[in-house]
Amino acid sequence: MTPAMLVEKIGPAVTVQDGGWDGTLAMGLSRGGAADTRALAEAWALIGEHGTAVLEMAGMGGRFKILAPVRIALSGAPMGATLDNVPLLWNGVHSVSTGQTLEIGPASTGVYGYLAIGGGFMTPRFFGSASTHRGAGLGHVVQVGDTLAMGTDTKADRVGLVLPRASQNATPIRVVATAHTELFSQKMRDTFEETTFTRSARGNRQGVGLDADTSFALEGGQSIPSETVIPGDIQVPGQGSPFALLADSQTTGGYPRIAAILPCDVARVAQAIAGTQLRFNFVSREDGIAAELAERKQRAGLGARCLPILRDPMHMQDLLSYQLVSGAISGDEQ
Amino acid sequence: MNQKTTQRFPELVFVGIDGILVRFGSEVTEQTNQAALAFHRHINANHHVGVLESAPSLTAVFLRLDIEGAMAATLQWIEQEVAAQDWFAVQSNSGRHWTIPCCFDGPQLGDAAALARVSEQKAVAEITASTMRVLTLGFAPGQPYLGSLEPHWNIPRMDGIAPNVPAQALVVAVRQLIIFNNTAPTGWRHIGQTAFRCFDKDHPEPFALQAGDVVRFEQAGRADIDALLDAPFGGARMEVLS
Repeated sequence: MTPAMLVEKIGPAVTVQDGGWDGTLAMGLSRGGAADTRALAEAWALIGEHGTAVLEMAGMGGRFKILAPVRIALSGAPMGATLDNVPLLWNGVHSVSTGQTLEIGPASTGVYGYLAIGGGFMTPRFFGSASTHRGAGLGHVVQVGDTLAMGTDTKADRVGLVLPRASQNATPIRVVATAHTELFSQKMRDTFEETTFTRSARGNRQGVGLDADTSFALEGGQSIPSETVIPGDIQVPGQGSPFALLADSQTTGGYPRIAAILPCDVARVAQAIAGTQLRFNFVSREDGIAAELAERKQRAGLGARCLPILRDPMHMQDLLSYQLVSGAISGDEQ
Repeated sequence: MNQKTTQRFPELVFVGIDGILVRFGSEVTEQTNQAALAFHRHINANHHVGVLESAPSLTAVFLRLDIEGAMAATLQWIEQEVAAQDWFAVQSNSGRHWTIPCCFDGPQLGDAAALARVSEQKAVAEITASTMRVLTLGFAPGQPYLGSLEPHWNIPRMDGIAPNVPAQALVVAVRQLIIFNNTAPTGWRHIGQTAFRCFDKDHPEPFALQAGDVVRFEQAGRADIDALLDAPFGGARMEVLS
């Protein structure tokens, strides 16, 4: 464990996260972990280490004084990062020297940005995960004055790479049937697919509200017994306004659930800022599984898709305006 | 079709792409809960490679499946295990008996007692005389749903904005009791205060309770509870009876 950075300034919701828990549902602890698992996979691919703890920055990053030679990777919602006031490429892995100042600003699009470090952040773990779950008092919420430590960097030479970002996906978010889908009439399910929802101002790592003019309230829905809920489930509380559950969701709930977002599409909902318009489209369970398996395969191949940064970013004044990587990537390539 | 398959329960329903809920009823009863816990124990004791996780709730068991594995074979195995026994006939508990001190001075004890049509004094007497069982852990880490009080305790949750209850508060609704681990808003009525932490990340056994544990409450004064706040398990005692 080596002191890696001193936190001089920090956004209101910067937490340590990793892949979360596996097998704790029976104890009332949800999966947790990074709200955008795709961006987490990209951070791990860039840094070249899988499973390490990273910082998840909701809306706003912070200012960090670097205390040792480190490698950092940035992914997720782009946040305008600088190193000693020189712009730093997002979705890249960079070498940073002792004494430099890393500053990460507000997100320009999306909600959750990620900062990974070679060797991973060393913070308290519970049942194998360093993830922060505020309701459970687990993990670490980063604060001004914290000295964040890192583990042993196993890929010290892996720097100067960028991961081409997938193009923005404007297609409807894919959902499949879940616990109570059958209780909703076909007409209501059709309306659910035809409705353009607005991501409400109510939203955090537990879940986000989906506003619409239509009510999706289920007649007698309040009498459903509490059952296990999973991240991605869309529940409909009594007043009829759907609520999509995310990583830190409760583990049981008594509201009827109309649909479940495919795990590979949950990040799109998590990353939607308040006011974003969202549409949903039912797919078959078989197609949902195929899509998730394809996503897993693609994530496993992310490391090989990192490309060298074409110019030394230290010598470029307005780096973000450069075309650094040629060729459009649709995100569907294997 | 045999008699079993003509009944609605046990009922299997998919939850998302990788979950299955095995439901044993639509209402929380001793029988549906016992069936769910028995099936959960059975699944845990008979590990199947395609089942990654099992979690019981009040009336059902959730199974998370490995979508990278042989799904058809896993589904077939689950159906076979569901049909293998009459889960409603299985009676068992964990053998663990807890006694938890509680001060019944919650701000909504009066409301709750009135809804149950008993005096406050009678309400406390009934609750402390009840043998409760951990029906499931859920909502928040380690948090128990305890059942079941007598039928006249089938009182509704509150409508509207739910106030915060303090950590370790005892709340009541729908014949059940919950001990809250952290301060949180709830529609359940706040009737008492314990010093019992159901989840303590720094404890060698962070989750104090297990589904199937037997729980009794013993009346204590406010000063007793305050004095127990730092005691192991908030002064609760656990005996293992075979």
